[in-house]
Amino acid sequence: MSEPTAFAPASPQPGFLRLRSVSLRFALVYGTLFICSAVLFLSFIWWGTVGLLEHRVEQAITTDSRALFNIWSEGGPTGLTMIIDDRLEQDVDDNALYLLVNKDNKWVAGNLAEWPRQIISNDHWFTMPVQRSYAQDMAKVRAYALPDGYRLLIGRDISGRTLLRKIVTDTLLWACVMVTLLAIGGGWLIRRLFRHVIHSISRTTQAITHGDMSRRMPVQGSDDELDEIAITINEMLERISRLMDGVRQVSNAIAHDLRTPITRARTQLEDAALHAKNEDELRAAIEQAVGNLDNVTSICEALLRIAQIESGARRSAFVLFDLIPALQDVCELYEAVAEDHGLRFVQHLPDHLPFFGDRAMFQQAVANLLDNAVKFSPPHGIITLSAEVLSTARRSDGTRGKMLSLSVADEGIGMSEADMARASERFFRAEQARNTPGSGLGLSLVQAIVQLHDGQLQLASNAPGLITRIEIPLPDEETVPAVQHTTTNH
Amino acid sequence: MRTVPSPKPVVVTSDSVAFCLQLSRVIESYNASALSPTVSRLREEGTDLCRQGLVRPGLIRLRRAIVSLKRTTP
Amino acid sequence: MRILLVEDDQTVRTFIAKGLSESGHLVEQAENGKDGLSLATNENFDIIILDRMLPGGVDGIHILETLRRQGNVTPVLLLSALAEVDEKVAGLKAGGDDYVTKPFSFNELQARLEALVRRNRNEAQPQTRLMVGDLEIDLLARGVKRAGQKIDLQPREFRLLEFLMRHAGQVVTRTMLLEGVWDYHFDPQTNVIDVHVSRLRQKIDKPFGRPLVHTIRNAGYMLQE
Ligand SMILES: Nc1ncnc2c1ncn2[C@@H]1O[C@H](COP(=O)(O)OP(=O)(O)OP(=O)(O)O)[C@@H](O)[C@H]1O
Ligand SMILES: [Mg+2]
Repeated sequence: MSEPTAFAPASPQPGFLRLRSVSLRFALVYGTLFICSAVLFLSFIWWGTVGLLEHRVEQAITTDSRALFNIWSEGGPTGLTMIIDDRLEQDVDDNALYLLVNKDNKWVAGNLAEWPRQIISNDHWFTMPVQRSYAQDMAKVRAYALPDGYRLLIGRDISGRTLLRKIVTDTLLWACVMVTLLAIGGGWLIRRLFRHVIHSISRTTQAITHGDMSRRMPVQGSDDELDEIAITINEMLERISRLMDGVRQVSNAIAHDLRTPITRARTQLEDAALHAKNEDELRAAIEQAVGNLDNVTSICEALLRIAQIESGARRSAFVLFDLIPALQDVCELYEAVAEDHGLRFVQHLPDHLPFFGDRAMFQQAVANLLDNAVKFSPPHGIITLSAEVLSTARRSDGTRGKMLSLSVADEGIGMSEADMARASERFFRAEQARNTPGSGLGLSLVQAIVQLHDGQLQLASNAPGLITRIEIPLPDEETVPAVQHTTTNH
Repeated sequence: MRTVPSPKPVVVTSDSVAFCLQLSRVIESYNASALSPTVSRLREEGTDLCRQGLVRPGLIRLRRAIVSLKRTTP
Repeated sequence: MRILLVEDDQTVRTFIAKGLSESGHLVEQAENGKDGLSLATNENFDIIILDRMLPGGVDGIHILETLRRQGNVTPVLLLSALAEVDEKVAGLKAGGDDYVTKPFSFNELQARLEALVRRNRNEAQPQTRLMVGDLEIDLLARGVKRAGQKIDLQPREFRLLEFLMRHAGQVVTRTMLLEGVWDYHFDPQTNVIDVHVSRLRQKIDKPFGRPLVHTIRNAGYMLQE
């Protein structure tokens, strides 16, 4: 770890220790942090125990010395000798050390055989070995000068403390080692986890870059952050592939479906150029060709519109509004058309329905559904538009909440199950629809609009006829406090 | 604080059988009849241990005996 | 009418200029933004037709904004290949009076031009009563009479008639009706407008023999005596 750069090859080959690898850096930082905090913590413990104990010993000796000075000043060498003897006799802890010598360095009192040679100065702390009957111990001592050349040595056997100190220091050392190991291990583990995630992401994305759009990130099902990333990425991929499918469909469509009106226009023009006998015929042919070209334009426009809606950019224009007047406007537009076709038009609408979305776009979606219902119904049928709020419906994302359910039912020719599944594909038109006008983009647009609103478009049989249903989650009450007032009284 | 690496440690004279006996005598010097059962038991155990060569535990018992003596006799 | 046409595509430009000249207007042409801007600032026009995207840095919106900043209120009709609603809104916000997306039919363009010029003239005096021949509507009381006979109309039918009356003698396209009467900016596929117009006809024309609402082939409708 000291020279990580030595292992870092400049090539993108994944070396074992690459400092450039984010995961390794992460692990290193993690380990360093771990070790630093452990050392800091253990140092506190060290000072708290060993430091405190040593300090206590020193304090005890200092206090003792003061007491003995007093004795000396009262009773001189004899008094001091007696007290020292007394102290030694009652030293239950078996750690007191005293030595009183006279000016000739001769023993006067105490339990040390002789004046230790290394104690040369007074009033300093010394730690020195002492020979006890069972072993050699360490002692902390301090020498004091007394009048008449007497000298007093007071000490404590600190072998107990030394032991404790050894235990603590050993513990600290071991703890350091363990912590280091833990840090390295943890760092390594994190690095592995990290690499695992990153690798599976990069594997998947690489596969996708190489064209395999069906690849997805594995989801463990443990509901953790990794799964969250995986799910988010998968959703993103889902969307990308849907958009790509869209693009593919559009290009296919341009290749195939736009050809039809263009070919027709071209044929009409060429035919007129070659065979028209008079100006009127020529004009008629040209007008027809212009009509066909207009058709091309409107197809292009519809495709662009769908693409634009699918890109989701229009979501920024969402507002809160009351859906009912908006629906009534569309109904009013189509009611006349329905009647014109000999159809009865029935509406089941609530008084108010707060809705969050794009008003004009939603109207267009409903208009397209009504347009289909009228177009694919023989006379004397009934077309029903109903809207209701399902209060605790299960939404597509699993949560429960309010949903708008809007349906357009007709009693027309209906569709087969297989056709229903394909109905919202671009340019799809069922076999029976061939001789009605249209380009097969109506439901695609509806689908795009509904998806933009996070909803679903469903087709079902009405026996006879077709029910198209739009289900869109509604905003929760608490998030739209003012909707009734802002939209109803204008 | 200075640690001096001196190889010759000073002998602690109180770690000896002699000291044991000295302590035992100190106890005796108190009024023998007034010795409480605890003190005399401690003293006996102490001297026994000393005699068996276990100076340290012996000393500890003897010292305890002295401490309790000091506490009881004014 | 004196019209300024700023359009870079030569085919489109000559097509418009030819059509407008044929209907008796005086057309000045500019093929880039710079020329267009200098013509627009230095001369007086009744209306300006402005392509939104022009080469050479000075685009339609820029010209429009400059003119409006100078206090020039000549009606401006924007032409653009950008069909999205947002683009329309942007064009109108910049001071445009109407917006026609390419490709367009000449009829549509002409109808909108005339409507614009007319609107500009009418804006001065607000009317409460409109009359065409023996048809008369009262905008305040929302009443309709023809040849002295009261006619009952639905609110939307009334607005449709009002729109036609305001543009009497002038071609009104289906898109104009959809935008002006219904405030819709999308293509309703089937000819919903035709249905509504024919209902209106049932009420105001059929009982009276002489029709006032005329269908103009390839263009739209016209209310005329
Ligand atoms: N209400 C309905 N009853 C029976 N078939 C329907 C109905 N609505 C849609 N379809 C079928 O679904 C196909 C796709 O509908 P869509 O609205 O996308 O296209 P279209 O109506 O044919 O053309 P456009 O809407 O672009 O003018 C139709 O061609 C038709 O076959
Ligand atoms: Mg349709």
